[in-house]
Amino acid sequence: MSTVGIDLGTSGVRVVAYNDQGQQIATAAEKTSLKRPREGSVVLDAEAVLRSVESLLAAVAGEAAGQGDQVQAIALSCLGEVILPVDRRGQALSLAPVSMDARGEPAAQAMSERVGAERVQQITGQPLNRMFSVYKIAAGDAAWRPPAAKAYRALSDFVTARWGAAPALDWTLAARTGLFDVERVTWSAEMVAAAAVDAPWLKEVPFSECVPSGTRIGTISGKAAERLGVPSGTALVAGAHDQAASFIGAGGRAGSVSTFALGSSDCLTVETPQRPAGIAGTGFATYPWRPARWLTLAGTAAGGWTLDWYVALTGVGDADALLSESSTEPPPVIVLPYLAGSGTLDNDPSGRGAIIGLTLDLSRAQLTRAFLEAAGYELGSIVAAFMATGVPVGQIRAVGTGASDPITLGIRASAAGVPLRPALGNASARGAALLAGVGIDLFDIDDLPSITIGAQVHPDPNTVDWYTQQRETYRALYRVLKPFNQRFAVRRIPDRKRENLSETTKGHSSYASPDARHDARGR
Amino acid sequence: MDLLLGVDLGTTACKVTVVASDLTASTVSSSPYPISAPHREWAEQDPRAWGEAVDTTVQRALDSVRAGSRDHVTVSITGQMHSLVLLDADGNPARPAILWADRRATAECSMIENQVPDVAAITGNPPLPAFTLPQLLWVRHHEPDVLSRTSKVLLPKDYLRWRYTGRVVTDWTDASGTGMLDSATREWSTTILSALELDLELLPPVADPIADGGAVERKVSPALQAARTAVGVGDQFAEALAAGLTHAGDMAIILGTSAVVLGVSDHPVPGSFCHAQSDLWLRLDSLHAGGKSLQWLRDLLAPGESLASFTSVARSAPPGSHDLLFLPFLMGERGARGGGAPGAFIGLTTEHGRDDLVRAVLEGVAFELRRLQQKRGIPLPTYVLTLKGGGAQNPLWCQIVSGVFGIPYRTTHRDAAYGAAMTAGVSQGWWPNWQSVPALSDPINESGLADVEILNDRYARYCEVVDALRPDL
Repeated sequence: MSTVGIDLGTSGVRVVAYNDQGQQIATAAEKTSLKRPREGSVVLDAEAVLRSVESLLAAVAGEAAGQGDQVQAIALSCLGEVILPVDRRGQALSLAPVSMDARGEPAAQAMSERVGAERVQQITGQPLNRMFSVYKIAAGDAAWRPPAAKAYRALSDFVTARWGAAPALDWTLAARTGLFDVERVTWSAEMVAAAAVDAPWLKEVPFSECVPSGTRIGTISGKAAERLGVPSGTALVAGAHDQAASFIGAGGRAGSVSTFALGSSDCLTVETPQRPAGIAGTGFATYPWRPARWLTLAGTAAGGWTLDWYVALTGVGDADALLSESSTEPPPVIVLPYLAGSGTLDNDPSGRGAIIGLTLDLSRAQLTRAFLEAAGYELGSIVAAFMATGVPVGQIRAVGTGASDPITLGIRASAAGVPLRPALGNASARGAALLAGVGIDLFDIDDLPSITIGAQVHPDPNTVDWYTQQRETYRALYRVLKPFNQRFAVRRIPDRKRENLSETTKGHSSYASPDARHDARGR
Repeated sequence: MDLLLGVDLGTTACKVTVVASDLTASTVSSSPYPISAPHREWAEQDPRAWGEAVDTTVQRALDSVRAGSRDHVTVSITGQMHSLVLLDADGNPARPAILWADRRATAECSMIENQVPDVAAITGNPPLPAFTLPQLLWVRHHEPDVLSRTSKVLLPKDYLRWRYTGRVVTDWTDASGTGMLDSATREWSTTILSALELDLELLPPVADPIADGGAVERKVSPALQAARTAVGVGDQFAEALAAGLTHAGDMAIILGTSAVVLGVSDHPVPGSFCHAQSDLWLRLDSLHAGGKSLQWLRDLLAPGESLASFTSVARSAPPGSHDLLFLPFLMGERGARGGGAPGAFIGLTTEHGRDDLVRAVLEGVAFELRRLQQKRGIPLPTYVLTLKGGGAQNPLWCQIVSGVFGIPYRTTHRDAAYGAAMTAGVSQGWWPNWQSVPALSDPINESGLADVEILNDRYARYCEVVDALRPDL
């Protein structure tokens, strides 16, 4: 018997099968690509993603069956914020805008004036930010409105509904639409009404039903089962937002184990039994994934992206080689990694990156280290913010690209001032597969199979004082530069340039999911 | 045949230009001579190596134009400013020359400021480790026996002329870079010398650069049989003269490894040195990492690639580099000019490419050069900006500098050796004064002015960011 976790990321899909002991038995992955049809628009083709998922799932299911472990249940780990309108048959009517698509800015501003950022965060658990789905729907054209649009789907329910499940979305992904009431665990009538003032179609086109992660939402249809090579009757189970799935897959526990996902966006995920108090006004996002299980997320919009951008800038094809050359000593230069907006701590979309303290004798090895340190400085700031609100973080398990490399992880740990312990394997796909097992009572939600853990990496005791000072400087630099960033004009890319904007050369090669990266670093 | 022979003693090699009466010029360069750094931040050279290189190169240059004993040659030597040469009573160097690039004399700078609080008002500049005076005080403190054997303190070009003529003299342009000259009177400052207990007798007399420097006694070529010398000028002044900076308000920028703004003023202003003409002064505002900033970025991102190829990608980035700013303070800044702002790229996004970064460097250097002028309250010229140096061979960089300053530009290949030859010409009465020296005929280019508006806007932001980053963080 096996369960399958499907990890849908920004630029790739990974399908992994696990046996009833939670051990990986088959995996397949494929790269997908984002499209940038015009300035500010960043979209993916949901139908192409579905085709990719089906092809990979067929291969993995066949391999699992070959080992005597027929697939019994499937769940998805999915990037958040993606939304698309579908027709009566659940087919995509539009390309799906992803997180960094900027079309939602006017609607987000209108919401700020109408409801206020504080109230929005109180209801939805998410900071008011243009990245959330509701603001993109509000900017939608005819394909997003009745009579064409029959429903709005995130990627997860888009896929499972096409396979025969009732349209159902787990709470964590529902929260990333920006319309979910995290306390009442239902769609927020107040948010829908406020958004519908400018976009009345939001009242007319339904979303899927919301359920806790690990809830069985249906059974795969006969046609789909045949196409995918899985047994008829295979269960479809509600999965989770990728950061939540990663937390579950890596063995996160309230008060004792948190996860730090090194992905396109670096993200610290912390669990609490109740909704945490004291995070209003920050960019921290919080949502329940099950009753009395709340996850709070904080990170950098462009963690891995920034690193990928740097790797592409150097023109060094072998990213691993570049990163492994990082200097052993801390350099005096500081990188602000906000190349796609600030960290969620500040929730500042106008944030921009900087490299400060450049000198003629700076080596590339030092600059590389500075880019790695940046992720650590941000993590250190976030951990401090959690501690200030009284939320215990506990042990931090690192997952995703680079987590298994003790050198680069050690640099991040030293810069953050906190120890990090690598969780090995595809944490988010694993989390989804464990949720699939929960949905068919294969696994107990309170006693999930544990993931393989590597040796803990401690901050270098010789650099503790240095990095304490550097973290303060890092925060000070952000504050100093903030007013200038806010006054910069919106970045305009000439058409000629956009055509040349290759995924690998312009730093968008990352995979948003914390693991299964198909990016320039190739781990 | 009357010939002008200009010698430029650079930091790494020397160059000799022979100019005929029809102003045709012929130039020969020496092979490099070494710089030694026995300790970190030291930079020294053996003056005798200069002498040998100059002898050989002068000979080759005169041979190249087939000059002979019947020709009448006037020699003018220019050379690296500030560097300290100590001669003993027998005319031998008492120690290796301490070069302008040497950074050892920082404590001595503080001492000077303490003991002569108005030193900057007297000389036009605060004491810097590059200057002759702090270097001399360093020798007095650390090598007292060397100073006790010293009979004369000379500057590099004056050492070379002494070697040819036996005459000890300096000029007011070079002397104003020592940190000991009263910029208004153009005489050694007795205030400074007495406060620091230095003997005036150690210093050479100060003369007009076009004054007679004496007959050549060292006949390294038959063509020098009847040769005479002019006193000459320091190398930055020779550059300025070659660029035609002879009227108040004239301005040139040398885009070399460092970037230097040369501007002529009719009164002494902070940061200025004495111009070759007795009623003019020349400001030198330098940014250490000029072209060096480009080399640095190339070495970080594309080691091994030619600088020309690396820089060419900047053409595909728009003016303003997509709102990316570069602060070119990679070596700190001379004196108090930088105020402690760090080298930086500010405003990065994942959509910036290498083209934007390279263009941002070109723009950042230009922004800083303009900021230096603005800080001094110097009105910019309106008619033309002369661009020189290796960077001036890059039309894009010229357009950017022109756009940032809002002034049409022209370039010239005339260099310091040519400027030295001009000094020889004025000293011999070829022209009655500096303003009569034939002007540059290079065409004036206005192509950079199309981007003035956006570059003005980015320049304003640049200044704000530099100011914001100056406090200790």
